[in-house]
Amino acid sequence: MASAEQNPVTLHHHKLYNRTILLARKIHGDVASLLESYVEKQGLDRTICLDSVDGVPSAATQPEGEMTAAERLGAGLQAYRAFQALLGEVLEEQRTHLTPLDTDFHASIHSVLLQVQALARQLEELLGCDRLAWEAAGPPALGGLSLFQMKLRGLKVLQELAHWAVRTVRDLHQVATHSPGSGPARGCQVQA
Amino acid sequence: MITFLFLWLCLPLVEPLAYPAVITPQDPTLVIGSSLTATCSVNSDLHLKAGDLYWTLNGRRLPPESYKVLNGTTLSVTLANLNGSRQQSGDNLVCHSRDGSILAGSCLYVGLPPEKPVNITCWSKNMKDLTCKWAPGTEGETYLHTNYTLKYKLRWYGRDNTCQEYRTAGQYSCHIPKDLALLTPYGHARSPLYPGPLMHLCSVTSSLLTVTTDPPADVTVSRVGDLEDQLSGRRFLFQAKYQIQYRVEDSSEWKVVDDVGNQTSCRLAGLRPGTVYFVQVRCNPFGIYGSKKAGIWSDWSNPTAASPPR
Repeated sequence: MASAEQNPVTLHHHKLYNRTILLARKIHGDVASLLESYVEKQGLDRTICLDSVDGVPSAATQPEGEMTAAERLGAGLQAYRAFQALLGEVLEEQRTHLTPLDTDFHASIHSVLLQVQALARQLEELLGCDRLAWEAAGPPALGGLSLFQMKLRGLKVLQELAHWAVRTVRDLHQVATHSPGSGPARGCQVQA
Repeated sequence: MITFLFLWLCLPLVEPLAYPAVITPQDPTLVIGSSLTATCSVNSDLHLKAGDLYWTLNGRRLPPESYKVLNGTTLSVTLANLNGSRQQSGDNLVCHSRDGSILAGSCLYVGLPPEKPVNITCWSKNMKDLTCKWAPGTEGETYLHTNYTLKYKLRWYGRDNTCQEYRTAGQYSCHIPKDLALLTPYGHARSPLYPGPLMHLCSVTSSLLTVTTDPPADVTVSRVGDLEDQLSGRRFLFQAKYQIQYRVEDSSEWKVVDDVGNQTSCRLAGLRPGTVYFVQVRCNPFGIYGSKKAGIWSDWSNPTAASPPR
């Protein structure tokens, strides 16, 4: 009944929050199953130490206590933008070097990549961010990895992406609960 | 300004320290049953002793008996009688520090060199393109992914061309879409062992190509006598043998005339006057593109209807 009284803008954002939460949950589920096949196909152990792998946004190292939920969503958006580029590289490495014949596996990675793109777009809309400014900057340039380093980085990308998805669901719930009638959350100020 | 320049110049020197150790050889390709001695050289700035390091292969710790300390910072391991790689992405040979941290890794690709591709078959259905299929050698692709390259050479031109459109007609196939009507390619398949340096070359000459074409077009039927019909088709740019089949309008049973040979016209005798017949032709080229192999029968042409006079 309460939602029926909301203005169209608020209703749109309410729906957008719900859609984004569902998408983040879907990403988490898909990445979890992708991780299972990833470690098998790369011959890795899920418990392998990945401390030596740099360049992947870590969900655990963000100073959550000092940030509002909206700022944390902004940090998540930055992370997902980085994950788009990273997943693209992981996919290309698998296609070109590591599992060139495994097209089903490539399709699974590509599917997650598309979902991460969609999640970033939805977060941009929720946070009122300018997408074009980011697209002009382009993805970070990473390269020069050995094949084994590619395997490790791919594992870390998937593991961290799963953590970020969980964190995003939690942050979205918080923002939606604490500001039910609000317009866009303001989290873009954390962008570099 | 001086400080800035100094830092800038130092960056390339500092960069190698990002890797705590280096394994040699890095990502080698090896033949099943062979042996490998790999070394792990630790960056001396890390103050790690070679004797404290250990190796794992696909997550399993390798026995210390296979190690050898070469100097204070370098440990080798020898793997004898290697099995084929457990996964397509290569086996993981990893050098660890005492606490289990990963210092470096190398992917081993262990398999058999590719065998000569067999059963190479090429066909053209319209004289303008060419599609080739082949099969891996008798052992197949053993543990290692194989890249195939189909090359062809055009008549009157000495330059090799490389087919670009792979997998169009299945996993082991390539399609050459260019206009080949007046040219003679010869099959030339090459399968380099991926990603290592071994490669295997096999070639097939045009005499081994199998070719087919689109069915004959412009099939016409004309009356030459009371109870005879003459069928004539267009003259082709290549030699071919032909087959004709015909049936009466209300029957689904075709009668095949397969002794037409390379004639482009044929008389059908014994037809019933006033009855509508459907006639189809197909061809099987030989000598096309220089092939000496029997070709593949084309599809049947569209049926042409005719009726002997009463």
